[in-house]
Amino acid sequence: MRKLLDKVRQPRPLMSNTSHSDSPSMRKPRSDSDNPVSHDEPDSLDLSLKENLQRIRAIFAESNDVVTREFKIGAKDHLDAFIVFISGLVNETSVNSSLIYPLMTMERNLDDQSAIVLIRESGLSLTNVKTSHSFEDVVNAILSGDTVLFIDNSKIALIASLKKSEKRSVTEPVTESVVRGPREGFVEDIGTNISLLRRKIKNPALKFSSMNIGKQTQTQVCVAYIKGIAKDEVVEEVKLRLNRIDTDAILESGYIEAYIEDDPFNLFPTVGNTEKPDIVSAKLLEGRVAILVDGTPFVLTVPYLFIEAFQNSEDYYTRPYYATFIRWLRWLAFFLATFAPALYVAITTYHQEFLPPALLISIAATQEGTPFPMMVEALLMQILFEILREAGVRLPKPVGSAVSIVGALVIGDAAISAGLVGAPMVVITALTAISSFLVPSLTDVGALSRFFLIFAAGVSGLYGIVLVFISALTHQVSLRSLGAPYMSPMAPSTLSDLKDVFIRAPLWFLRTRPRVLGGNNQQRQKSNLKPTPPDDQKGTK
Amino acid sequence: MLEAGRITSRQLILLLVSSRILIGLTYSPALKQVSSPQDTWLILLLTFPLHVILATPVYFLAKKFPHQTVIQYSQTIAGKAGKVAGALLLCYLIHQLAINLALFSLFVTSVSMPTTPILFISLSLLLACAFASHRGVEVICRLGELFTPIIIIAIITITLLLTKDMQFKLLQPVLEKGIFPVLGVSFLTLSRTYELIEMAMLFPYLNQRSKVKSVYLFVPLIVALIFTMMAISLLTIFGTGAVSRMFPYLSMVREVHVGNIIERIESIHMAIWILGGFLKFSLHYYVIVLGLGQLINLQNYKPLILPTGAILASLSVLVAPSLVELLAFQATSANFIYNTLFIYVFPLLLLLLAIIQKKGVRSP
Amino acid sequence: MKKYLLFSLCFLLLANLLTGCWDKRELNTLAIVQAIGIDLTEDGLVSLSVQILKPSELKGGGGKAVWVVTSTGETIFDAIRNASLQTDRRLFHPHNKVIVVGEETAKKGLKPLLDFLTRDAESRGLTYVFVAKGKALDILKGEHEQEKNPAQALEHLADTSGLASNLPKRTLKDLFMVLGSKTSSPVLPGLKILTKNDEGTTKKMLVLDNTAVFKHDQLVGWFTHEESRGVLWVLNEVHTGTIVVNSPLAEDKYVSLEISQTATRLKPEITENKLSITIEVKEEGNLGEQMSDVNLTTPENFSELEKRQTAAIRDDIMTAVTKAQAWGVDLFGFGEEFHRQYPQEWPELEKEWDTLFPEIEVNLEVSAHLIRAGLTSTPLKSEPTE
Repeated sequence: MRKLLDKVRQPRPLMSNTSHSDSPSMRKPRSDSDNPVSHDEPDSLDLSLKENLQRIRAIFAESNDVVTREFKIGAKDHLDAFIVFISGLVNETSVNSSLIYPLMTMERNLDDQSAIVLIRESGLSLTNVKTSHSFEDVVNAILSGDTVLFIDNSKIALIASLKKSEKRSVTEPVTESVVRGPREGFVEDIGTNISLLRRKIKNPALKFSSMNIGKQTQTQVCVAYIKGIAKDEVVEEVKLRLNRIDTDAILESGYIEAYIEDDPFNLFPTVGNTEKPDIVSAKLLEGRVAILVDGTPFVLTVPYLFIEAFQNSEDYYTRPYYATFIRWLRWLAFFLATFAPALYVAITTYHQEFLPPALLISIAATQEGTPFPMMVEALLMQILFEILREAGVRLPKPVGSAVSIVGALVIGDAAISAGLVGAPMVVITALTAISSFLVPSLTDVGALSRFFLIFAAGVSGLYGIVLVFISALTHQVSLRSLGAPYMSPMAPSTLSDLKDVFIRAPLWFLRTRPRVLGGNNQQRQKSNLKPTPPDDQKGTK
Repeated sequence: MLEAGRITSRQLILLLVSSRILIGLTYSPALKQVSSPQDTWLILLLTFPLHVILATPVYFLAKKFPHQTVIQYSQTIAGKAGKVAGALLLCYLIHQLAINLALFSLFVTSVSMPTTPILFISLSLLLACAFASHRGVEVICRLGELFTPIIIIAIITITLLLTKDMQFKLLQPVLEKGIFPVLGVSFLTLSRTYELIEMAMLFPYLNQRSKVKSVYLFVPLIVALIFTMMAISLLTIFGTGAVSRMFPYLSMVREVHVGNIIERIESIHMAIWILGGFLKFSLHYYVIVLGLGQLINLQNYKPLILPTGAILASLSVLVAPSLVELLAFQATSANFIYNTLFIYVFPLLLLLLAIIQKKGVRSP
Repeated sequence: MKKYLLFSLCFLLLANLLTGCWDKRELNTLAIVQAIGIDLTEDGLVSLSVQILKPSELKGGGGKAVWVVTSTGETIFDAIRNASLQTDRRLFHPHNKVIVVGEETAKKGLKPLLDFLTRDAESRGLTYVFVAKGKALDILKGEHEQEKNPAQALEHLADTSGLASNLPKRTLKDLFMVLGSKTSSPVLPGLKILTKNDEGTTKKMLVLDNTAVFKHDQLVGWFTHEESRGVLWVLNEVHTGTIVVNSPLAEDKYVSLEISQTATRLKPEITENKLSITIEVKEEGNLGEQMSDVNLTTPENFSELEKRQTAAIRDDIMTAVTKAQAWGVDLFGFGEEFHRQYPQEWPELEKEWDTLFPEIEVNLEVSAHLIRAGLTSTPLKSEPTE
């Protein structure tokens, strides 16, 4: 809250300079007679409508998107009033029809002090109306797209929500497409995102607690969790870490991620992100905490474990056998994406005896005339591939395809026929490239560690690779994500949780939540859900 | 408290198992010490009951002093003398680690990287181990949990791949020279089990006190079973000719050939060796620095890591002028007595003293 | 702390890089050795021939895929290193498939030559060993029609020779198993060069021929294919092959019986200072072929064939055993069998083994069965069965 105060206070000196002449005179008598507190609380609204209007105008000086509209309330007795809003954030038709029109045509007597109550109770045909005494609230409300109504002789303003926001419609996310499963994805608008989650989990225990982070952006950040499933300590810790953030701007959930990680110097992601409500729901139901950030479709989930990179929402929507197979493929692909080039370099320059004779001869034949050492060749090809990948992602679509054609020709064909690199190296690079996309959340880890490993392999063969591998693993097992060991349930091992790591056991078997996440509420379902044939058919089997 | 981490019994068992089997896996010393090599499997099987009997002092000491490591309770029991004894014990452990480190790098350079300096191999591994011991007991145990199943599965796979070449008649004649040489070598083999000291150093960090017994029993059992399996596969493949191999298990792995597809899998042995070596030395290293920290009452053992590493690296070069001399030293009876003194006699004396002085928790 | 550790690790790796990466061998600096041949020169030096592969020639080049380098030295290792005066690349042994020992060299004993092959980390136990009839160098220069790579041809020859089961197949490891025993003697397959005149060009083709018989590690003579079969029977190494017998109904015509299942057990026995060993052979076979046109697929004829089959096996084994006993070479591991069965008596027997072995009484128990008769029941133009 302190941050908010700072922001509101800032324009004040400006205002006091400009309205120096009349404001003290107008203020003094009223504040003395009426409400002595107003002196002590400079933040509270003034009784005088004019004073308020001036203050608002001063705050929003030089912003011509802020609209102040003065009018008179009531058809018979005229009470002075004005509304403030930011054009573009507000649905002006609704402002006309459900705010200005009913007020202007009000028939009631509005003389007394309770005018504001009367207006609120019977003057406005709106669902979401709040009252406020403080300028801070009012300014925040205006900035976030609400319409504020000031009336004469009242220290209370009405805040009406008549937002019009520019929203993308809910579409299938580009980053996580599925064959089977819901096609909806989060959008930039946090309200829509919350509603998407609410629609999945219809339980009052699903809590959303909001806060605004960012001195300049005042971005709404919302912590979602299921009370009773998520560990209370984890929820508290998340809130604590979020409250600690004191920065200018939160433009994407990545900003939040950077501030709440357990270990800042860490190659591996310890905060998960996804664009899909079904995935977030599943994670919430496992006992995780989600962090929604306004303005981005990427929702963060914590704690994030290493194995989550290998789990995919579709694993649970398809039958377990193929899901298990695919999961093994992902492990294999991650292994290949990280180690294949390094192993190739190590084996062909240090341990040729491990190759089957026929393979050795084939590789040796292609390597006869190449100019570079194996390690240099591998590094070159990897850098070339990373350049092509980045170009393909960033360039406009039409140019992108040109890049891929040129790249394919340069890497694939010309390099070999010019005798610059051996053909097996191209195969390895391609294999690595394809494999690295099977485990999307570890693509960056794979790409970086590949370079390390190739270097280690070129310098001391398999020994170097294994050393780098064990050092990395030492680092990995010492990591934590919001207190949960990053490598669990493998290390430290929880045998009962391995049912969803290397295999995806049938859903009726996944009886308990991951132990490292769930608090006291371990049981996910009844224990006898294994489907059986109806009783009368049992004998025939 | 120098170490706040807590470990599970499963982690400790796995870690100690791979730590124990490692050197035997490559150098197979028992095979080379017995006069009737075809009985090696029996020797190794017998180590289990013998170990359980000989190691009882450690078990009872752990019961009596549930919150103390061997370094700590030796001070509780014997005061200043205990401190001196603890210091000697640590020197012994440092010496052993240096020897094993030398064995490690000598093997790597013998079979794979002949022109690489030995110091490079031991120093780089030692650095990785230093990193692990810096991260504390929990991390080392978790690594054990990850690597040991890989190691055990690899050993079993190798055995399965070789079954078609095994000739079980090569195990005959059983007990050709009688039971006594066999028992003798069982004791010799046990004298290399300094993991017992490591066990005594780590018991206080178990998260469940009741699991002390299962660690105490399962470690020698699993070790004996794995060793027996290895010995049987070695003997049924090479017969007594296995004795003449410097690295019998490696030679055996090189014999694997299944249908021209699965062959040349020595890399698996190499991977086991490096992974296992890393585990073994990390644990050992950690135990040394932890013990040192406890001996001189430090708040934090971490500043000790690099100095200890420097001592270890230089010592590992000094203890091994050549592989032949190192192996010969290990086979001497002086070495047997030296080992036994620290591994079995020292805890026994401590236990006797504790009973006489009525120190520690009364056993139920 | 962590920084120091990382720093020192990087420093180590860099140090390695700067000192030129110990043990690094790029593929195009390796001469892949496919076969080595060992001969001794007249003045007792080792003359080592290595067959080196030319990978690009093998993969589609027109020229010869291998070339042979001969170098001499006082030891094998010495000779290998001396070869680097002729090869521009470092000799690389792990893919060596074949070791050929010259006949004269084998007569002087194998043990001194083979130590290097187990001590060196680069050579492998699964390499096949042959004895050349003549010089090993000539064998390495031989060719093969099927394969561009003669060593590969030799490797495959050793495998396929199992179809005939009249030559042993020995790897370095098998050889060492036998040489490790104080009483047993090994056998090795022989290799010779067949000079063939093919449309004007002379081709030297590789052929497997006969079995070299050793006394301990010294070559003492050669066994014919039939005698070798006998040895293989005892060693339980006959897996398939043919037994040719005379047809029961047409004595001048031959019948081939295919061996399909075999099992041999040795039962040593010591009775009243007399050693005897019982060789139990169980065999199952099929009727593979007959050159007569009589109907053999009757129970009577089958049992007659079985008798003849049994007799043929007995003959093979007896010839081999008699010859081995005459030469005093324990090719069958009888000594080891006694060792296993009579560990107490063994130390005594071991000392006397050279005199005891020829005296061992060998009993044969052969039981051979015919199970199948192929896809033909009665041959064409056969006389109707009565």
